[in-house]
Amino acid sequence: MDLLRFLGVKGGAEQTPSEEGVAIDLSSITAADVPLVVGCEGQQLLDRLREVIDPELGINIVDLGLVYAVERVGDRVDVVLTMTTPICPLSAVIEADVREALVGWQDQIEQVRVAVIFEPPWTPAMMSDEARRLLG
Amino acid sequence: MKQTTARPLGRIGAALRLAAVLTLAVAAILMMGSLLGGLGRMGVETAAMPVELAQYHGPLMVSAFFGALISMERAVALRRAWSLVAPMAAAAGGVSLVATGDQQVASIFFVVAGATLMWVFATLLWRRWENFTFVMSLGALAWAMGNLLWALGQPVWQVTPWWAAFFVLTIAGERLELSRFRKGRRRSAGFWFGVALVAIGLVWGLLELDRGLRLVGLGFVVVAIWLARHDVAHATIRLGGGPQYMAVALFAGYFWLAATGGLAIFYGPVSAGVAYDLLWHALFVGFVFSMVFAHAQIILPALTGVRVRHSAAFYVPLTVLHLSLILRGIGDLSNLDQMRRLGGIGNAAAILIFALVIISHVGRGKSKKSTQKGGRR
Repeated sequence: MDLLRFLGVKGGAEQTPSEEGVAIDLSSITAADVPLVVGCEGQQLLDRLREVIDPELGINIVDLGLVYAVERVGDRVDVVLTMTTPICPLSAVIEADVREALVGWQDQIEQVRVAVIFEPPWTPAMMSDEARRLLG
Repeated sequence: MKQTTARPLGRIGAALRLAAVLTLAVAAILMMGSLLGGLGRMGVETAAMPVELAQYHGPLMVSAFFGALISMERAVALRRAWSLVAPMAAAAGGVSLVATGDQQVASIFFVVAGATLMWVFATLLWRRWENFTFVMSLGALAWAMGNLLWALGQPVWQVTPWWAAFFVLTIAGERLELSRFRKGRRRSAGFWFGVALVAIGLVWGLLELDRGLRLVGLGFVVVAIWLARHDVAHATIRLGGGPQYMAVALFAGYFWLAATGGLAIFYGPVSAGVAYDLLWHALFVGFVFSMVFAHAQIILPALTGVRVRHSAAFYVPLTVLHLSLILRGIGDLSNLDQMRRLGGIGNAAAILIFALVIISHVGRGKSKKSTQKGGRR
């Protein structure tokens, strides 16, 4: 980790707490696209991520609109998440839950890489109708 | 190659994570000691203990314990090593206070902690300005200001309104963020009006404590009413399980926040005695500890990686907390010392029971499929 980031001098635009070289082009994700899934395999992975629940709200992260993209690349799954706010201390917990939901779930998923980004910013419009119904 | 689970604090080394866990452990021990001190202040004889625990019950609870806890939450969110200075300084202040009884040294630690937390918020706001982050930063400012006033020699009873605002604004900011999940445009004018009353009241209180504190009290009432009406807890209370339990604890807390405000308006500044006991414990026990009981099972994993299951057992300490506080309040209002003491013992017992429930629920729950509520297409 470079010294400037360690000391916190590099701030401003850099908001990503974790980035693990996912194959998905992060800069191309827009609010209108999410969630980005590729094929029916991607849809299956997305459905699997419904196992990951936000503990505060009791709603899964897919319906909350926190999953921006998920893609299988060989024996690896890449997931791009966001949090409702960059100041949330729960991102590492959600990340861990995502890995646990996916690693070893299907044959040959050996590795899960998770990127947590904050652009585009999460908005309530990204929630599913079901989540809106439950929280309205 | 299997992916390892991400640890809290991200890329910051294992050594720093250990330091964070140790800091929280020290803070928790200080809290327990401060509880005993609180009982001592009520005239409840416990085993022989350092007199500082009773003498500095307030600063230990507010700055050493909660200061460390709340600034640790933000340090985990910020993921920068320097942000750990805040919780560590807070805990160090508590340790030095109990070990040496030297108020000056401890107050300097607390000032450093508060200033660092303010810097943490400045960094977070620089990254992204959000109105709820701003409210929480006002809370940090209130804590820092309270610490500064205490370091400058102001008595605790005059500093307490600032410390109280630390909690109210921090929690209000978090709940404002979550209220975004509710449908429709939430009219937030009432919320901002309440926050403004608190801020203005605190500053005015530097010149005229009487008017200032009553204004702060009004602000607390307004914020409590707004949150009770608009909190997402209205929805989550119907979802069962952990979210329902959290919602119950939240609403109970809002009642005590409103009660605190009402008592502040009614009594004005109080320096000691039953009015002081009632006013501030309505806030710190009824509101703050109810929030702790609500969220510990979420925050503990976030800060330490330790998972906590939920079960209905959590309702036990929550019920003991609120019932014993009612008892304490009746004892205060009727000048019945024994009832007040019993209530205070009940408060302490509730916290102890809560700790035991947490410990007994450590570990992963059963398969999430069976506990998941809603959200399936």
